[in-house]
Amino acid sequence: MKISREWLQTYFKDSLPSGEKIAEALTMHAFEIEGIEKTGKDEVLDVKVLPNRAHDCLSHYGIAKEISAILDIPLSKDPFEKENGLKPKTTSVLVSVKTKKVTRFSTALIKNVKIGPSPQWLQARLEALGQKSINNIVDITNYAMFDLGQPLHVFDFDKLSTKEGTVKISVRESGAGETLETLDDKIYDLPKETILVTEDKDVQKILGMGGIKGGKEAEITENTKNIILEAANFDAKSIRLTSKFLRLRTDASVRFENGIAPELPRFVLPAVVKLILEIAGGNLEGYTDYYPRPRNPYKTGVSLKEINSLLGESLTKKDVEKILKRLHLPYEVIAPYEKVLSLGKSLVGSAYSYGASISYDAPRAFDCSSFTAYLFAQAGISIPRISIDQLFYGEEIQEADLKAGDLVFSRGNGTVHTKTLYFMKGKNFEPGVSHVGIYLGQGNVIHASGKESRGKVLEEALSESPDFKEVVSYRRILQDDERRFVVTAPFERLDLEGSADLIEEIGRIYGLEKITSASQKKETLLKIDKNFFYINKIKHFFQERGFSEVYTYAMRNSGTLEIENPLASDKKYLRKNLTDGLKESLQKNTWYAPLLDLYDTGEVKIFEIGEIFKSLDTEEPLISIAFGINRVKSKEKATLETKERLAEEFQKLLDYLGSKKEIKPGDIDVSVAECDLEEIIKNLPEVSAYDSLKPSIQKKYTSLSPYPYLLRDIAVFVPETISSGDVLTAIEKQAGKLLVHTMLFDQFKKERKISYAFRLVFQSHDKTLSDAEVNEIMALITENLNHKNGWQVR
Amino acid sequence: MKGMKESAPKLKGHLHPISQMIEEINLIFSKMGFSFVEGPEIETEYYNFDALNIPQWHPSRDMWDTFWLKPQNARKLLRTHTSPVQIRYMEKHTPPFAIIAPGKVYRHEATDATHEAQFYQLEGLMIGKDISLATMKGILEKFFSEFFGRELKARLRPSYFPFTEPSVEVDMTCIRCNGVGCATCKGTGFIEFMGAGMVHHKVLEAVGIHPREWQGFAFGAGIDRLAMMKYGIDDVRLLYTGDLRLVNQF
Repeated sequence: MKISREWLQTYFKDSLPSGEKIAEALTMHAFEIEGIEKTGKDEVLDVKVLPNRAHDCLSHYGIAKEISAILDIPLSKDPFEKENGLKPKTTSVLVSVKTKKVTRFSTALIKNVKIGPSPQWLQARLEALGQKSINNIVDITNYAMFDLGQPLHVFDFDKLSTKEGTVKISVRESGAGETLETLDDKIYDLPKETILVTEDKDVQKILGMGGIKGGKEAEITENTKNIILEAANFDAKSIRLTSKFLRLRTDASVRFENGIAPELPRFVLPAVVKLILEIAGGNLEGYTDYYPRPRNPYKTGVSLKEINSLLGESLTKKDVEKILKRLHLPYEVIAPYEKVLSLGKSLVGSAYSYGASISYDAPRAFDCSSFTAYLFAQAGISIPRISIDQLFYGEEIQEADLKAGDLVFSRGNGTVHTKTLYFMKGKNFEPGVSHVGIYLGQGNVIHASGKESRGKVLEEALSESPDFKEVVSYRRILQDDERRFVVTAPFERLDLEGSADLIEEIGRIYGLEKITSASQKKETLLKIDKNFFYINKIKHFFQERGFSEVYTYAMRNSGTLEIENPLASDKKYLRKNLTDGLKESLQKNTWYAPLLDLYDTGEVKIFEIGEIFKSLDTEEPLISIAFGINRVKSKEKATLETKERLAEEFQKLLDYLGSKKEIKPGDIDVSVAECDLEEIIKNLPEVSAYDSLKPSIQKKYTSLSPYPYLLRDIAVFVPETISSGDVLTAIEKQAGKLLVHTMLFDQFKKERKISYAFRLVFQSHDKTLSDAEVNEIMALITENLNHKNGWQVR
Repeated sequence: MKGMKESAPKLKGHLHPISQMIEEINLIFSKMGFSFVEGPEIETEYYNFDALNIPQWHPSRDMWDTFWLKPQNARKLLRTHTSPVQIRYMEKHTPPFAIIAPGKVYRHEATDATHEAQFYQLEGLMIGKDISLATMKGILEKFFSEFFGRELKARLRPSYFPFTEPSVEVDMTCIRCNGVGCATCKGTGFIEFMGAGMVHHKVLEAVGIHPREWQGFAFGAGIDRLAMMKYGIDDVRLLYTGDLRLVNQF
């Protein structure tokens, strides 16, 4: 996201450092920076907000908080501090929400605004981010989104039909065949279940796709007087699916698909109203607010031991507290068992409700496992939600070792679970679990007793409780009562779910770059991979036999398995063999032969080992091995047919490995042999160590020219005392850098003279060489050689 | 043409640079107790995504552009990383263990000199009792130093991957300038080398490893990128065209 330094500055009294310094701080402690742009006296940073922080950091306030934490400078304001409860209310707008995909829908009605251009400062803010200024109202809503992260939408009140001065809005999911014309004059065929904001009457005008884009119908124009502002919260998954389906990504959809806090509207909407009244005038009629299920503040915690164990550092309690304060994370330091027990006792009498949610229903109502999960969450330990999962989370203990705070599991009238559901899914526990409570010490237990029993949270003697007649297990959650930092996550920090998230926060503010490397204790047993061992052996065998290894492309123009979304029409299939690719490679390299050292041998010899694809089965991948030979000089007579040569090489490989495989006629094509690796190595012995490697030489790669090469042959008669090297040096000296490869291909003696014949390969890195250019060079070479005493170009 | 040659012909062939690197990488890691593990290139949606805490509708899936195979309802794909190899291994083994999983992976991306739709990745995983980010840093520094043949330092920065928490980017001393600052490292003295982090508890849970008892790290790097760094290969696409003009340089 584009972030303006000037804009950030509005959050600080202290003067911020330069854009470059801010970028450095963010890079090392939060996000990478994709670029810094200077515009006038402002600097705009392109911040690559990480996906887990898209909830809160796609906004200037989010980034300001980060900078405050990293640079340890105080924020001068907190836009989420004060709220007015979205008052006064208005009855002129009636919203009915008919889908569960909308968790909040807040509106404000403002009358008599004056639409016009935005003031200079506002235009400048948006321009800095590359946003076009439209008019004061639209600009203010965009400004609020880039400032605080809540997308908003505006409707023209007067374009909606009213009944006795009231506008009725319905928020629902689309049915089949609905379309919408959007603000940018495009018409979209909406997929089913798209969230729609519509008029609420028989014939409905669709006002917009909730959370993605507004419609043309209620667009505000320069004549607009009365407006409805919308700040809502839409289901992340639904927004993502619609946005993907329509290939329509907007600043709003990006924020909603990552999920943002439903708390935002109660702060953002009044802020926007205030700004509109200041800039565009008008008067606030009032708010409406649909928010049926407010979420409880979320708590999670971590201990010092856990922090240092994961980071491998030795932070102190003081270090951690300082960092939490810098991060603006409210926390308390508590003894977890003490908290669980005291809080538990204070909840005696709370109602039982099966399936009660920790986030929404606690502490008003619980079921047995939400009660235990809630207590531990308040003590900073996130344990699983379901009783059977809690059982597996805890460490088994004996009845005799039972301590206050341990979990007691029983089997009774309720639903009995024998298999874990979410935590370590699928683990089995016979005889099964239906109920859980917390041991209080002195024989007492506290638990949320089911509807069929007493239907509330109660404390009683374990031995006398009808819910614990058949105790099946005792489990311990924590080994000790080490104090924990229990953080109440700010509502916008949806990423803070467990202790590891807090450790990440602490680690990055402390400075991950400060972590010092630790030496490792060897505690693992090295296993030798048989396939890999023999593959390497085979590769080295081939190398010794003069074969070079190639990798060919796995996506081809034919095969058994087809790709749903291929990159190109000639890459639609997965290779069904290596042979096809190898044949192409043989051909290609025959053409390149003059550029390769292999020319002397008169053959291109290559091999490949890799996966081929014949079925969708993922359990037994097919590893194939193939090798091929092609003669470069066709005029030469081969001593053996290529096929026989391949068979011979194949047998040598099998003998070398001691493989019992028998070569079948089908294994060898005209120029390539191929077979399943498994066939070769299945009877080979297990291995206990890898072969060591010769120390590798630091190689430097010379890039390849994409242009064709030209060949010239030259033969020279020289006195017999002259070596071929002398001749070559003379040629190279004259030829310059366009001569990329040479080869001596003939020599003979005649009357105290000797003839050397060379093949010269010319190629440029910059262009296609013309015959004329090379002829000119050849003429110079010839002239130069003829000039020498006793030398004669033939 | 008898007796025409002054020197014996070069009979030995050449090994593909990626093969050479993988063999060397394995030897370095095996000395540190890491076992070599492989897996299939065709994967299920579960092993490639779900088991790695990347739910279907989650925006983080956009980090991996995927080739899907027909028929679509089979939900089979070309693995986008070798992380499924780690999942498969963890399902079948009890910690402590340490593995590396080099292998070919696929990404549905436009190709250019530094990006190819098929390429090689090196992933590693270590799970034990007191394995930390500091342990990881030590191991990676040892690897980098041996692989590049001189002492190199690692530097950790924040990052995000669904399957690790905390997640980090691992930078390494720039091998061009030895950390002084040059054009390659944009003056920072470090080059970004891999993504890594402490394995997410949900990933451990999903394979039946108790996150309260075990912890560890995972890392992933592009081997093609290592080749660019180590040898100066300037076009990774040439690695997969069966071209001996490239292979025979190694």
